[in-house]
Amino acid sequence: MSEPKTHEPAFDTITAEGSVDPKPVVLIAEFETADQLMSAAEKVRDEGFKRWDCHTPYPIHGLDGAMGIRPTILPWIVLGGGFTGFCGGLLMQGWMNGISYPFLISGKPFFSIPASIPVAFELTILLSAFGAFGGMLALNGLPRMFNPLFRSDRFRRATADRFFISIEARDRRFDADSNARFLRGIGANAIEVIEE
Amino acid sequence: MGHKQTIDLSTENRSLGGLSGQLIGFGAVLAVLGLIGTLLLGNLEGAFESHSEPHAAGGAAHSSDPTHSNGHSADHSGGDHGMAHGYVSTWSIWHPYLVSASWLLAICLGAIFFVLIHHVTMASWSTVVRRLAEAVSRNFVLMGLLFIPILMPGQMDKLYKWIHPDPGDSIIAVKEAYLNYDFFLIRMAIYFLIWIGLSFWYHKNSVQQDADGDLKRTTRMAHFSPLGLILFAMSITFAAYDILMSLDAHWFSTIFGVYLFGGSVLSFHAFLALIVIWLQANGRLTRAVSDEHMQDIGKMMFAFTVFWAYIAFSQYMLYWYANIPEETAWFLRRQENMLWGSWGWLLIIGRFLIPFLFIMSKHVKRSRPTLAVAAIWMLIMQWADMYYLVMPQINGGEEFPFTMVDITIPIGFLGLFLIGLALSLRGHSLIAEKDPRMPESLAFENA
Repeated sequence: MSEPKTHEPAFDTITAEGSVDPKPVVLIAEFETADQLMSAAEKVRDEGFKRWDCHTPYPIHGLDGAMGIRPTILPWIVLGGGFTGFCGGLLMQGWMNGISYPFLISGKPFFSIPASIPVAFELTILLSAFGAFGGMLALNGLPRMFNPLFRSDRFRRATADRFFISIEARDRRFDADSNARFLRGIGANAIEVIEE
Repeated sequence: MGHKQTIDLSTENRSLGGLSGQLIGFGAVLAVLGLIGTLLLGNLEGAFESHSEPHAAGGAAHSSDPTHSNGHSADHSGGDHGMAHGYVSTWSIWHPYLVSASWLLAICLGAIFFVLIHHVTMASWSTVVRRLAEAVSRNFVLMGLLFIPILMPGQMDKLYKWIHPDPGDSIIAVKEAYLNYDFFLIRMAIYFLIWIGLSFWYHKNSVQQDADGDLKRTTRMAHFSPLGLILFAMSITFAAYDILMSLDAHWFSTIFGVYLFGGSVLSFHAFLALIVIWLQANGRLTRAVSDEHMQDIGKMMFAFTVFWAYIAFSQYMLYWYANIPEETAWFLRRQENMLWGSWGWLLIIGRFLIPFLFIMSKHVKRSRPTLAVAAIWMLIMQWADMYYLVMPQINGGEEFPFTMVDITIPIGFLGLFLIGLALSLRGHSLIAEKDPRMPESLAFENA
């Protein structure tokens, strides 16, 4: 387990089995209610933490603001995807029907806008959807098969009736002892540090 | 930010109060301006001259050559080169009249659709603005009155050629079982009966719920809404065929009703946004209708901008592809001359491309000034769309129909419309007070 401390530790420590030289990777704090989580999130934000997150059983409106999350750039990725699809669709048909393999069909022009709109439209939708789906995964760092948070049994209640704040060890302000005391002070009823 | 406080409706200013006088006054000014303007300017331009002396104003080509118009109409009545036409050959005051009446009818149709779809989906976000939609839809009474003059026996043939078709016009002859004056009147009566019935019934139940808080009213309104939507869909489709499509009785498009529907829902949401912004600027419903609700109204405006373009293009592409003369004639006369060709581009760019890009962003939808600009623009474009449906039907699109009454009639009608709205909105709350989904609607947030 953890090395001896001069004072009683303010948190439990969970260490991955078989790890040599375990280091903390993430600290979690449990809250009883959504309101507690909300006010705690504001304080964590104001404290200047950057690499941290909230985990709740259901979406909580206003949490984004409380966490100080900046607006996502996903809409621009979707717009870029849609624009690429539209222009790509027109160019593709222009090149195929107008240049590469002109073929006269019922007296229509080789290349014409009305005939090309459906394909360009579908490609706009398709690449927008790809942009939204792939962009969402990429921005969230997904897919991710395992997260150190899964080592905590307590954390399972994040899908049922408890609210959690997690602070990653990569955060510049991460320090298990002082963070734990800080989170206790703003209403956390349990703290765990996960080591790997 | 923190948690959003639940809004206490009783602290909200939610009756029209003194604003009804203001709205009626403004409407009356517009109506009088429109009426005087129409009489004066219309008279100057010869709009009220009798049928035997066709309109000769509104375009240098025609006003300089009155005999041309006369000769033309004579040709038509005698059968122009053996060709019969499904459209009338001369402009009449009823053409701009029909444009404006259809323009406002579209807003009412969108309103009743909004109420019905709200109940059928048991929506919660729209509960805070549903009362406004119910009030707008009650203007069907006004629309019914406005349509009566068009339907007068001596007047209707100035719009609809099928009343007195060219001799030997076999295309209209086979449609006679449907396209005849008596049946047309019966159908119009049925449409307005359905629309007025739906709008009054929903408005009445909703207002009475304010007093008794009876939850059975909500279930009753929801239970009736699927049937109401079917009635609505049938009536708007056939009304579009009758009122607008039969202006050229030779032409047909099965998607035409959907086309009118797309524009209707779009223009209603634009109108709704403007009412809310106006009410809030005067201190009504300032917190009950939040940025979140405005964003959703904006989303519907965006969605139906795309929907309208989708339907308009679907109609165009099939006819363009099949290239059958009887089907392309309608588009041919809208493309083969400079005026209607440019008007078509105006709709593509002004009705689709500009609003599409403009209200795509959520910031534009959430800010009142930008949403108001978008809404006003969309209402103008709805008028331009109606103009595009009606005007090129005159004499195969060769007439240049601009007159000052194109501007004065919509202003006058809009004035009457606003008076009607004020009468429907006053005397009760601006919000469906005791709707069971009201708390949910007040707390609504976009995820």
